[in-house]
Amino acid sequence: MFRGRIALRAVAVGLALGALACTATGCSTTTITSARLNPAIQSTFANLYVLRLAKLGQPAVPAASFAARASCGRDAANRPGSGAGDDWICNIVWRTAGLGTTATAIYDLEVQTDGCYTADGDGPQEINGLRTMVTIDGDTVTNPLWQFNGCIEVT
Amino acid sequence: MTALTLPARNHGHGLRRACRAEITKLAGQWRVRLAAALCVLAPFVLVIALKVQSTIPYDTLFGRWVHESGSSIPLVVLGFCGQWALPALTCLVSGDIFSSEDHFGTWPTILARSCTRRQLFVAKSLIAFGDATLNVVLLALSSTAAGLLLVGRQPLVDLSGTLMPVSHTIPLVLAAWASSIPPVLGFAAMSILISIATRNSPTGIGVPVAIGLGMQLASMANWPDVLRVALLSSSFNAWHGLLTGTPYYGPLVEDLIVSAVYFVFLLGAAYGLAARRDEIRG
Repeated sequence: MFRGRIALRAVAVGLALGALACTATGCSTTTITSARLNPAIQSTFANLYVLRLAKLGQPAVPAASFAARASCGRDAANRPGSGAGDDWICNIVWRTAGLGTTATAIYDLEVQTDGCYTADGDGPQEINGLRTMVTIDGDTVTNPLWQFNGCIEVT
Repeated sequence: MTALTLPARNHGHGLRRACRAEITKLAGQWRVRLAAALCVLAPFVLVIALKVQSTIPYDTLFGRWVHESGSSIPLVVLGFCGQWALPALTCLVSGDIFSSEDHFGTWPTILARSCTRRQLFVAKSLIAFGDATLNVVLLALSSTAAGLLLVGRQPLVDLSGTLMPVSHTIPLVLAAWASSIPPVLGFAAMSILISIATRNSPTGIGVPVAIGLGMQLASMANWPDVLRVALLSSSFNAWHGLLTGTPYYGPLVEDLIVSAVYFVFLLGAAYGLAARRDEIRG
């Protein structure tokens, strides 16, 4: 009897608080959008690219010099999208060292509801196709560009 | 003068005595010792197993770096534990500390002790929270030690792709582990409520773990963010923002608020129930 009443009261209070919070924050369905993912992905990629070059023994260059640009979308047509899901695809274009040309890499993205994502390399093979790479010292280590994680703030 | 000070002193004594009795009882349970031993040993076993197999848990955050950075180990363990291990470890004690008295029919005996019913409730709750916190601390320290000793003090690739020296990662790792204490206490309060309501330890231990897993499933749906944040289990992920290049703390604040709301409501309901119980009323 009492137990039921306490539980009911707790549920009612919980719902009321939820509704209150919902109205306070505008109750947006998602803050995961292409516009917010693109900058996060491109800067993480550029940082990891620097890491890879260091492992290969190449001279250090600042991440910004790659001018990496990501465009992420939720289907093969790569249109802007929103929301969590495992069907995000990102194309990343960056300036290659010295030559003045650009290169492109593709990543399949799984974005969690809390804004954290896993990017899984989908080509080209020599950039992100293999789990490991051989450093200048001959050690076999994890290829930083094979897969990477990151998070964007969603609330 | 004496009439005013005596009750206060008695109050303290009763609570202390009740706490001491509960600690003695708990320390004698093999489950509690086993859980504590597991918290200390499991991270070392995990690292050794990873080293032997050369496999990597690449579906976990930082799992790709377990062979190349010692700081990744405590974060991988934290990511894994937040899924169900922390609620399970917590409820092992808090889901049983009240209902074991039902199971053994010992309420009349312990109520004959010179402490009030409120003191008994507070003592049992405090001990349950203390045990839960101790498990988190043991896991945090041992997984950090396992990482640094068995893998090494290499810099860690953070969630923005930059290298973070170990002097930066260790405080962040400990802060990340500390952020799991509020939801752990929320789950402790939940299992206390359920075990008092059902007078049954398996329910008190199992149901909160199942609720936690249900919340995890629910948090994967594309609901409004406010609903996802309101799920207690989401608080176990609040630390992610700490490990990015430009750290953000919003989820940690939400973690504290959400866990506090769960804690107050669930423990309040548990106290309300306990106070109405005949055998506890004496």
